[in-house]
Amino acid sequence: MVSKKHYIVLIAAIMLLVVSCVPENEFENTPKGNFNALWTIIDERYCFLDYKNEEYGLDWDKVRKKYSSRLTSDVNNIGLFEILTDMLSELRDGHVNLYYTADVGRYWSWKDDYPANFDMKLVEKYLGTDYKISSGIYYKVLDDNIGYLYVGDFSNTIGESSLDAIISMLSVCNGLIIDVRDNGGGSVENARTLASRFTNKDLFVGYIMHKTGPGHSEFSEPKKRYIETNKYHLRWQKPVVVLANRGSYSATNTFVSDMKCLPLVTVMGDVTGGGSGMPMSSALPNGWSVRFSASPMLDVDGNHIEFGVAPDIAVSLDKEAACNGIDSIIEAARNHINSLLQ
Amino acid sequence: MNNWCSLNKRFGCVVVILSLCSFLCAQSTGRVGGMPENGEYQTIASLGGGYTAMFDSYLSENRYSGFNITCTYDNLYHRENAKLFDYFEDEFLINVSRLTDQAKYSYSYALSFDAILKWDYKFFEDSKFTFYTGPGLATRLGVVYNPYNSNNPAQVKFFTMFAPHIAGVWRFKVADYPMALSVKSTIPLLGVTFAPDYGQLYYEMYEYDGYANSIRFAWPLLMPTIYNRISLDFPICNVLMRFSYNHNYSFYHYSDNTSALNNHSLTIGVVRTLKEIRYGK
Repeated sequence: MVSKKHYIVLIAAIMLLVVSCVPENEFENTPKGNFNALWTIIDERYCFLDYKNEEYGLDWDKVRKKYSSRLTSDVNNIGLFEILTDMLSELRDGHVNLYYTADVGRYWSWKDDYPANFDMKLVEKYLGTDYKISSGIYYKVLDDNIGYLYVGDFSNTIGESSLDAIISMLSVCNGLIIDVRDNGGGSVENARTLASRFTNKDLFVGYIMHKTGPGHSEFSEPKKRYIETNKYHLRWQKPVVVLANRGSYSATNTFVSDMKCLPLVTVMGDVTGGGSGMPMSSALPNGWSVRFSASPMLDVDGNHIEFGVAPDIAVSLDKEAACNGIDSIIEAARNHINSLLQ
Repeated sequence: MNNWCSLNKRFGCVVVILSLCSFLCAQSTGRVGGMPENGEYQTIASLGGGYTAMFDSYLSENRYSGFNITCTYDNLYHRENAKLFDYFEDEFLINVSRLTDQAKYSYSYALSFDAILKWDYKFFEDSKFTFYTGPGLATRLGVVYNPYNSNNPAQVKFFTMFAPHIAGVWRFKVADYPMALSVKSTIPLLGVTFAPDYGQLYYEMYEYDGYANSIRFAWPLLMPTIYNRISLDFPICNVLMRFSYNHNYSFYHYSDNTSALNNHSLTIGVVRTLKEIRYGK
């Protein structure tokens, strides 16, 4: 009987070996706890702290001192949200947002502080009323037999059959304008799907990295990114001009950077808005959600494109011409394609 | 219209009750707490709920807790003429949890499916006690989904490990009423688990690694994991019922990421002892 008791004790002991422990949060749900949690999330996970320190002297420790002095223990949610949003705006990153039920903290100066170089009403004049729409892409053949695509968003899935139809429809054209001005991004996958129609071989276009630890410079080895040619569908073989402006952000920024590597492609317009960090979302102890750049994407030379991609040919929107219904950037693209054909 | 609805409801209730009756009537209680013999097998289906606590630091340090719905389905087969392992068990556990964060601000859903295959060696048995142990294989496939997180809504939870177990059954009577208490512990010891790198996005894993670099070696120092179950078998009329407390716990710390999942649940189900019918010779 003693041995049976031992068995029972043995089994009970095994069950107690692992107590039901789930770790507790390091930070409390207080204004100070939430402030510290947000500061730490950015300190340990945000991917551009070193780069931005070099670019404009961002010192994240100084930022903590600056904004913690504004913090009081009785600050309400609105006040706390304002302090935290102001702190995040020091990062100058459109991919950094703070979400709570009443508001979204944001930084939009990457676009608002620069000339628009885009007017949708002008684009509508070029499109007229007989343009076609497929997978969210507006397209038509302009008078000088140049195809025009307006891609305003990379959020919609771009279907392969849609691209087949578009390329087939525009195959008679001498060149193609892909207008991604004011395209704020979406899915990198959709941008890659579109880009894959403009190369006949897999093309190395840049790198991607991720953080491997909380240190500001702890990154993985850069992995090469490629635009993979689409072997089974139609591919475009004639000159292409990509139009960009400050509103070309995030996935569109990557799209422009990638397209720039293609021999038949010229990027015209303004510098893109940037936003090269793949975003990740975390949460504070009070439940507010924070989005930030986590994995940097680099261009083909290994340079950061967080603050935008410069065009091959810089062109601004002529306001006087715009008053007459002429988009000087589209006109410059048409001239460029026509000059290549001569 | 109302009459039609109430008629449908009554009809539905009758169907459910009849189904339940026919299901229960088809049972045979067998010996309470007894092991299947001579080609028999036991099958136990149970349903219940409980409490789940989760800690995860992949996105940010956050503790979630909430209720779960648990469904278990076990089979215990007697292996005739087996040299070493007298029984083979398969245990399946489905757990669906709705979890809220510490501030009760946002919620997540956790879904896990656990399959444990076991081979049992009976090392002691008398009229009151049965003890058995043996090797096994425990596999979990799960997902945690946070609808508030637009960029990283889903996380994968996966491991497959060699998992020995130990179990005991105590048959006793309370005022001539036969009951059986069984205790089981399964401890995954060696295997592989899925654990993303610190700060690595699923996009990068999927596009550039094919998840291969996120499959890691697992053993108790890196990933302590345990499945516990305490069950009480008792007959009601001609039906053998099983009331169980289930506990499973898993924890890992890889690449500066910590994840812990702790499930407690109470389930009630029916034990059926059936005879395997073999065709042919």
